[in-house]
Amino acid sequence: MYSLLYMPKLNPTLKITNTIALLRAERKITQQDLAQGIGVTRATIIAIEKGSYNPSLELAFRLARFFGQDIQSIFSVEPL
Amino acid sequence: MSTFLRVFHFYLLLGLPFVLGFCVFDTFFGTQVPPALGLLALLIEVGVWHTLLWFSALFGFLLALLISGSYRDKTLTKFTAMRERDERELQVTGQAVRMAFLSTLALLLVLMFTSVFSVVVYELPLAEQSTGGTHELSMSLNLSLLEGASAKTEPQFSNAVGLTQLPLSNLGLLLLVLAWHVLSFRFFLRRQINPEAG
Repeated sequence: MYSLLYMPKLNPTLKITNTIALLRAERKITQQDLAQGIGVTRATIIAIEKGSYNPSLELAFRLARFFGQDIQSIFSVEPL
Repeated sequence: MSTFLRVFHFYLLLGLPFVLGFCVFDTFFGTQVPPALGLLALLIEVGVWHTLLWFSALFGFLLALLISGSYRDKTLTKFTAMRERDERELQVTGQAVRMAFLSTLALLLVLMFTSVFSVVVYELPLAEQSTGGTHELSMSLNLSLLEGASAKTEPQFSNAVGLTQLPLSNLGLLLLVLAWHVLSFRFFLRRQINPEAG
């Protein structure tokens, strides 16, 4: 029964980190405010900050525009 | 969702207990009540018409699910509690749908095999037990696509023990697959949202 509920694990080759939590803290913005500002749910902001979800290019641009920075200064890539 | 649809769904949900209650009443007491009983006869008359109306509404609801894509989308996403408010939820839903589809497909393959497969162990007649064996195993496949199309050619053995095809009715099978599909989707959705859970 349990094997019928098997979930495959994804094996990413790159680790994408971001400075959203830091930027938010600097500007004293809550997760809810940021979520409303870029049109996503608070759960998505939490997932992005934790690194469990990588946003699409469009959402990354929206985040960058919200903080008035380049994408490269918010997101960085390092090999696993 | 428009007000009409909300009222329509509310009526279908609210009317269900009345229809079930009326069906139970009909099973035990019947609806052929003499008109002399007054109020009871009137209530039964209303119950009959209401049941007719409710089943017509249900038929309309099911037909609309089949022919209208937007209605199906609005109704069934609500029924399965799909959340697609942003791109992450869309991705999570997509992954949950993929895994629910695969697990349901596996279940359907197992059900299809068990629906055609029969295995019977039976005791040999005394005259045929000379070779030492007392029992024989019989396996067969019933590959008919239409209900009742296959000729029942299996011999009737004495002391036979076994499984002859799936011991479920058509409704039981459909309910099983339906429940499995929806519940597995919900399970995978929860696991995707919170991988530590479940």
